[in-house]
Amino acid sequence: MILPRKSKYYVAAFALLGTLFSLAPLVIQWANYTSPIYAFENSFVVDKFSIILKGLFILITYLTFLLSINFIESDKYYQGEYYYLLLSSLLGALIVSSSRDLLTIFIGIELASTPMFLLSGWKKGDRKSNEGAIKFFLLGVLSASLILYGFSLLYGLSGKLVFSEISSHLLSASLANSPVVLLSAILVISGIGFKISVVPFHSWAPDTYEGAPLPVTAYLSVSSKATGFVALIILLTKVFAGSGSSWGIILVIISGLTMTLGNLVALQQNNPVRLLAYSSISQAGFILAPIAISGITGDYQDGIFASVTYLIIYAFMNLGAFLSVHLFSNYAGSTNFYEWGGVARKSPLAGVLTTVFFFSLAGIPPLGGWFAKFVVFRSLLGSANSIGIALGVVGAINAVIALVYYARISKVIWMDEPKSINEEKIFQFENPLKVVGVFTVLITFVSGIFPGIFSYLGEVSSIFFGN
Amino acid sequence: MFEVTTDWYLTLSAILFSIGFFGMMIRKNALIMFMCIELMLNAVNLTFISASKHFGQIDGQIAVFFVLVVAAAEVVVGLAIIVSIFRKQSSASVDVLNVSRG
Repeated sequence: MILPRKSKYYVAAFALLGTLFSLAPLVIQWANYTSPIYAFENSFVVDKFSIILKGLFILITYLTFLLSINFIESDKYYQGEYYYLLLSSLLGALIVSSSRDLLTIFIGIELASTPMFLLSGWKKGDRKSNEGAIKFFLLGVLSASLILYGFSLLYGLSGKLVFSEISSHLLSASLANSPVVLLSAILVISGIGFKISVVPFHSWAPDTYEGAPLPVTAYLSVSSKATGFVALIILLTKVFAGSGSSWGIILVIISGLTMTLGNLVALQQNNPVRLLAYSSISQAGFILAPIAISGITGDYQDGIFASVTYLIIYAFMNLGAFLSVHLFSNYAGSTNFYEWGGVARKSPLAGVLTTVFFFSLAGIPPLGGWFAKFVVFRSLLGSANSIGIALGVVGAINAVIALVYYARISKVIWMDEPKSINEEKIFQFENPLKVVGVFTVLITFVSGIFPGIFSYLGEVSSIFFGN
Repeated sequence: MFEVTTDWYLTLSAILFSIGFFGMMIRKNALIMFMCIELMLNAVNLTFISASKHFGQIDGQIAVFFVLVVAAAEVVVGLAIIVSIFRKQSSASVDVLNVSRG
């Protein structure tokens, strides 16, 4: 804001360094970890679950900054505020992952999403960007008020704000399945449903994703979604744990619908950003499935393990997919990927990265997406519950459908004949973007080939649920 | 004689919340939709306050301050977006926002 325009890159460098250094306290906390630490009268907790998720959020934001540097400089964007708003959103996500009371989690959710309303309208003169921003904003505040009304009903029932006190009050007064608690659970699920864009609360996502600047879209589809899921997991298992069989059924229906509808619409898209928007809607269905089943069976540990594993792997491969869309749509100058014929020959590195990310999203071994899907299906089929198995079958069918549109992009960029040959045009692949590509591709491969690194998450989610 | 109990306030806030919600669904003007959101948030505040009065503790009233602050922050963001749209097309109706389809 105060720096002259030419030296704005100091802001970017400062934001990058700050984000990187903020990983240091996490590493120290992890190394010295003995037991969960509670603060502010049990409303804030530092446990392994929150440390892992904080690490995830910080890494995502770091990669988003790297994606943004050249993009934000290339046009008439406000640069200083851009980094400030993204960092505010990161702070909100960090608060959510540690929160243990109604107010803290609400402030965290709002702090994470309010800056995103502004960032999604960052292309000020562009009508699509404005339209995406206002849709996102109106549905975002609607979801906030739904969540809040759910919270106020909980407070009205129990007179408590801290999760542990609410759930013990609900259990002792045997209110866990009373209509008011169910209404509150439904309000919270539909409010957070907007944040994680599941059917039928998904209508804003494709428009907002298309209008927003591409790094913001990547952040929205990864970090905002992850924040919503973390809030949902915490609320469902810490507050509504006693009424799992009721919200379990609702979530199973939502999850099945989300996978199917997202996939079917994604098949018809020719705009790569809208395609990724619908694909991320359908991936949200997969992330939701284990939580839904764990509500019915009561085995929350397994559900949380599967969802968080899927969430972490999804975050990196989806960031990578947005990186490749950014590269190719810049080069081809077209937002219709059928016109991208043969662009991969221009830059084989970008082509290989794209193929890896899209195949990983489709769940092809040995990439990370395969392990993520494997964990989800294991949790669904292992539940030995007819609803779980039915949801598993729906998921399997959807995984096959998804392969069609993920493979289609790879086919177009490698095999199709170029529509117009422009030998002069240089393929731009800046160094920060290369870092993002290499980092995300490494995570995608490592998580698929050595899935053992995720086994510690099982222990972590047991710690989460034990306290 | 009537005695005004906590239930009355809770019913009133439920009615207010429903009015806000249905207003949000049927109105097309972004500013009116925005006022509906405010109505819903204030219904939430009323619930918090009456429950807080009922239990004789202060937690719920503190929650209201947080809700007010968040609502004010959202007004700032929302009006900025609405103004930026209004500059482009001199209308705050969401019907004209139909560029993105599919």
